[in-house]
Amino acid sequence: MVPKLRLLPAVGEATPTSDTPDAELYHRLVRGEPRAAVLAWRAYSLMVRGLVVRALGPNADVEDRVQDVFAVFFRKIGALKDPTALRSFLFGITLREISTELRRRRVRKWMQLSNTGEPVDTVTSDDENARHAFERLHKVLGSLDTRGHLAFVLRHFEGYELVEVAEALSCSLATVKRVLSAVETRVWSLAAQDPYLAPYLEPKAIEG
Amino acid sequence: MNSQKESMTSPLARLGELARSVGTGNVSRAVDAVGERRAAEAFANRRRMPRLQRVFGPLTVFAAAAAAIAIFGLQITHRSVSWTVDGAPVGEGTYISPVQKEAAVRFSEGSEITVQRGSRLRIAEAGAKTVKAVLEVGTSRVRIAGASPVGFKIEAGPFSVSPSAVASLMVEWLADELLHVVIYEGETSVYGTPSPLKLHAGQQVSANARDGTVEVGPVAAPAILNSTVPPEVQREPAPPLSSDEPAPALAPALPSASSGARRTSWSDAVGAGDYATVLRDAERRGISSVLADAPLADLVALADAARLSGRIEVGKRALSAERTRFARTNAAKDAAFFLGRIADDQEHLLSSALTWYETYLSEAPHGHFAAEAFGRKMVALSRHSGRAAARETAVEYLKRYPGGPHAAVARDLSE
Repeated sequence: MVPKLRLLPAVGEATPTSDTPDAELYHRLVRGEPRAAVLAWRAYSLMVRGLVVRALGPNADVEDRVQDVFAVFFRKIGALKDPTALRSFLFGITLREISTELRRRRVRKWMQLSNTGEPVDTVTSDDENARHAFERLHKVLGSLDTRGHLAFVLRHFEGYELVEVAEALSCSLATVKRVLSAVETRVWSLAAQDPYLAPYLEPKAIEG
Repeated sequence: MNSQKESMTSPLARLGELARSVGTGNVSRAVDAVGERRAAEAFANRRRMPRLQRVFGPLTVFAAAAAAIAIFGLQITHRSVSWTVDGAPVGEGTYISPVQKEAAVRFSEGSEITVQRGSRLRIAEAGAKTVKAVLEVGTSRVRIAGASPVGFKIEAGPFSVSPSAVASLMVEWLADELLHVVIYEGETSVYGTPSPLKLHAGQQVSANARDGTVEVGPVAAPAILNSTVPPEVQREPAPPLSSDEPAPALAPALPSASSGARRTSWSDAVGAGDYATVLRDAERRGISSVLADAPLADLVALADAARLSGRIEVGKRALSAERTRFARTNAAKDAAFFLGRIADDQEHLLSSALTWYETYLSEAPHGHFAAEAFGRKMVALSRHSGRAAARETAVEYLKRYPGGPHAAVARDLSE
């Protein structure tokens, strides 16, 4: 829902906007303008949060992870040399934070530490089946290693081309193809056994 | 192999569609506003640290941090601000809810918060540098003394109002979603709105946590949202009326649909403080009929209007109807919290209140009211079963919400 800001005559601040071009926002952030953080949040928080919740699933401290991303972003903004690459810079930070969290989960699982995070109310569908399916899908993804998990998310959730996935994960195209081939087979195999996910694999799209 | 791969690709794409449809990243305006504030604070704090790191070496930074921790530790045990309520000292966290007449909270450095009758406020924290008051419902007038060494913060829902030194303002928090601030003197910052606001004397702001609407304007202009709490809310509770009796005419009627003017929605009427019109409309249509047929927005508005007018039975019925008819919605989950508050504040039924708070927390563990529900559960448990029974909850509260509005009470209960 777009917030509505209405100014009654003659007083008040200028209407905030999320249309600030990346380069202008970059310069504001680097200059340390107080409003720059708010403009950055309004421009990018949905992108960051969407990627976090799709990659980490509903059982994650989504808002805390989003704050971690922005904290790193604000700290490292000075290292970015190309102002027009602001969005992809933030995307890269988000991916690294997601990767860190996935590794943290593996350590917790390995050490049998309980995950104190509680389900976060960030899934937006009123379709109960879809919500359950999304949770189950993330249980399946939880069985993958970090790189496989991220490759699957980037390819199938975010719609990236193979070359883009390779660039995002800093590996070769051949490696991405090999990793994806393995994880797709595994996800397919596990999803087919899950009553909530199996309907998504119904043969209506079988080709060849 | 290739045909098998091809057959896999489209279903995997459907899994992608599932993820995109369910994990959109959208959250409520209130959650987004809190996130925005945290991000702005992180940005401000990040600007201070790098300069320190450039000027001093790492060892000096460590020494300065250790000194800061020591000084902070001394400060939190050396409280320089004390306060009284109508002349009598009161403990931190105690609710101030005057019924007969307004209550004056006076601070030792000269500032004052006047709590209007029918309202509910508590001083959550009074440190050497900051006083934090939480306005749970109603109206308070705030006057900050000149050259006060302490920063004041008045929290209302997801919003935070921080007056500067030498300020006079009024803060209203209604229906758990409507903030109204009028600045009479000095400057005041408001956080939790889509972007932080800095207001000056002669300005007012109205903000709705539910839909993100913010309106800023001069005090002299007619406010779109009514700036005063209806006197009916401030009166002592009226003798209970049956739900079939028409409510007294408490406010000018809004234009009706038949006059050709645009009918004001019940939500807008509640936003304007016109609870009586909502209740009168509902009674004209028949409360039972409204509860059975009205859309969710109207049920929510009716529940709010009833609660804030002291029409507890109608309020409870409306909240129950939300939960029955719109079971999976956020409003239905919020209704559990409000039912807990009614049981707690109005009916003084602690068992029932505890059950509702626990219901809310199990349905929406990270909902808008989660911190409040958890804190209230802790307080209700201590009153119902004693301090020992609430200790574990208090420890858990501090883990989850170390800076939350009930943190001081939790620290006390966890000892």
